Amino acid sequence: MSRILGIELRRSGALLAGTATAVIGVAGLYVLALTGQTGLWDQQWNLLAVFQRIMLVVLWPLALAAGAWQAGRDRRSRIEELLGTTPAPGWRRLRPSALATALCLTTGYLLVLVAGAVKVATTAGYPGSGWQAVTAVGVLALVAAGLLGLGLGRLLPYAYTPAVLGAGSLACLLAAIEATKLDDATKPGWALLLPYFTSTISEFQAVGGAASAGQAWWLGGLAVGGLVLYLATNRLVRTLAVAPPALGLLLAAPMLTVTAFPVDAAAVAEVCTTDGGPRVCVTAAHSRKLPMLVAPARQALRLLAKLPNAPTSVHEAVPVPTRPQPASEAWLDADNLSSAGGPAELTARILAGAGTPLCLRNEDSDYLAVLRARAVTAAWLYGSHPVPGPALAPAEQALRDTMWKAFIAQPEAEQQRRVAAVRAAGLDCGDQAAALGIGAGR
Amino acid sequence: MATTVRAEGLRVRTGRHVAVNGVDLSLGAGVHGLLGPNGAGKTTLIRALATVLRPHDGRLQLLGQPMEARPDLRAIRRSLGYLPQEFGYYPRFTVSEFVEYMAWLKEVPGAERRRAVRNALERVGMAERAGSRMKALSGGMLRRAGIAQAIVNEPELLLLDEPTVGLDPQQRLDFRALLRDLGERSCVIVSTHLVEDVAAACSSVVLVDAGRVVFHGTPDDIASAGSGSDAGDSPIERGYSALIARHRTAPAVAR
Repeated sequence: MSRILGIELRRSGALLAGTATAVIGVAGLYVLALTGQTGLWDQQWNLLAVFQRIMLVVLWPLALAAGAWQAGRDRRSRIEELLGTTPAPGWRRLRPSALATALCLTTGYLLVLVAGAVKVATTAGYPGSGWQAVTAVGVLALVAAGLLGLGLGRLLPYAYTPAVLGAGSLACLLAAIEATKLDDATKPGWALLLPYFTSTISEFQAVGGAASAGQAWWLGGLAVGGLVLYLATNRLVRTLAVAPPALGLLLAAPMLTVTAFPVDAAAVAEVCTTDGGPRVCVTAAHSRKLPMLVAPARQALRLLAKLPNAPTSVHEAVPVPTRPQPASEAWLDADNLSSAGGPAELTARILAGAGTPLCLRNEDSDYLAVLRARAVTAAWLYGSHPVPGPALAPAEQALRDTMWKAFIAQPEAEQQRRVAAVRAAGLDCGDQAAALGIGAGR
Repeated sequence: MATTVRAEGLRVRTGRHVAVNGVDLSLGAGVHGLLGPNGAGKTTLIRALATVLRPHDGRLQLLGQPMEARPDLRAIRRSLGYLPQEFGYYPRFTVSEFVEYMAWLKEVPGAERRRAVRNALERVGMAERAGSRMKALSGGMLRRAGIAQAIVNEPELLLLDEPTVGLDPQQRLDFRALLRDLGERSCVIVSTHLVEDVAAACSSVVLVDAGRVVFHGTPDDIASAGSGSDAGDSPIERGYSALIARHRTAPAVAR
């Protein structure tokens, strides 16, 4: 069958489907370079694998339509009568085209991975764990779409079947993004049955093995069901095609209630300097950023030394800390590592909140007030206002200037006391704006 | 001579219409022309012999297997070659790939397949176009590619429905030679409108009209049935016209 498979690989629509998958997938990755957003996937292998799964929202309907198109080849070529006079059973005749479709879609998907890997390999330090399973399930999802398309295309032998399946499934998947928006994104539940991920994960998360296993059961069942539908030669077998997806769903159901995106313990583990100087630590996920952080972090420690019980080491803070911040440590929010413009700006960001991370989310009502208090603290420690960093809106800058003037009008000892109070509040995730005691409403 | 096709009172329907209406036939090795006007039932008869249509009534035996029982269709089809009137093909395939694909479907063993493909293409004069895409072929070349796929499995029963459509005069001469060669070992049934092809290549002629066999004999028998007053430019054309006219008037007299 290998020569016939070779013919199918060269001449059938499968090649086009695989090529389209690769081209659209690679374009989907690198179009983000235009807006400087490749950080969504190039920081870690896990992120790349998950981002590929998100792109299935487009690639899955495409594979479904391509499968249905391939299934209609005999009808379009008006060759059904001739084929019907050959001794080979229908299922044997259709096997190479099903295999070619699966192989081409798999190759297309993996080519996207390879294209992304070129960038990830130069950017990411920590490999992330479990990305291979995420990719394997992605391949399975795409192959399931192709095989399901073949099956449905044979079941519904109409010229418009591919277009209806493609457009219809795309509309359904897009609608599902809205329908599955959840408060707890780590537990998507039944949304895991969708062939794509509805949201991305952070560098500190992994895709749980149970979630991947559950998805593999379901998508595997769907793929087998599609294949049975495609190869079926009578109504009974066509009816039996619902059994594999049903069985897959049954096996997958218990696994879909677990935490799908748990914290990756290996990613949040610390990697620290060992040169004998003040310790500077980042997470394993950001280990490549450590050399860049060392000098600004030690400069920040020198400036923080003005405070009583000053910290002696700098640590990257993860979004969901696994331990309370000790007074001996200065913490820096993880996102500053990639967004800070230079060493001076990085130092200023460590000094914001006097070496404490931001506890609020931007939808909280105190968010802006706390940001301003942290900016004033940073300026006092840095020794100049404003601190190095991006320009603010004039109104916001004017407000901060006013706060700064009011703050430095205080006696020196009072200034130091208030900055220490801001740090103390930050260590307990308290109200830093209230601790500073300057600003609107304070 | 072994009988490859035997039909007794064979009736075949296309929809509600009985297109083959009580055909009695017995054919063995040789080239048999199936001649008749449009709508005579030639294509329906060929499709029934190709196992595309099931007989509605009567008896049909193909390669020794009765079709009214539970025939081993797979065995019959393994020894069958068929060129339909409307020849469908995969346009993106090359000629060689298409014929090889058909050889695979006809269960030609893998080791022999490439040789069988090469041989079939050489016999129809398409070896030099083996690498051409099917969609790039002219009408005559497509027909020859269709014949190549029909003969690639060295069939015992070869059914060709209008095989000479689109062939130029030289190609038709070559095709007649090929038919004579194939007919030495196989039962070749050729449905055609072209009376001169029948005269040149067929060992027997089955004349069909209104779903019935009007005449079964040699080309010389047909030629001798005509007279100078019958329509046609050659003896066999005049014989053909005479036999059809005779058949059409006979039932009216009987009624």
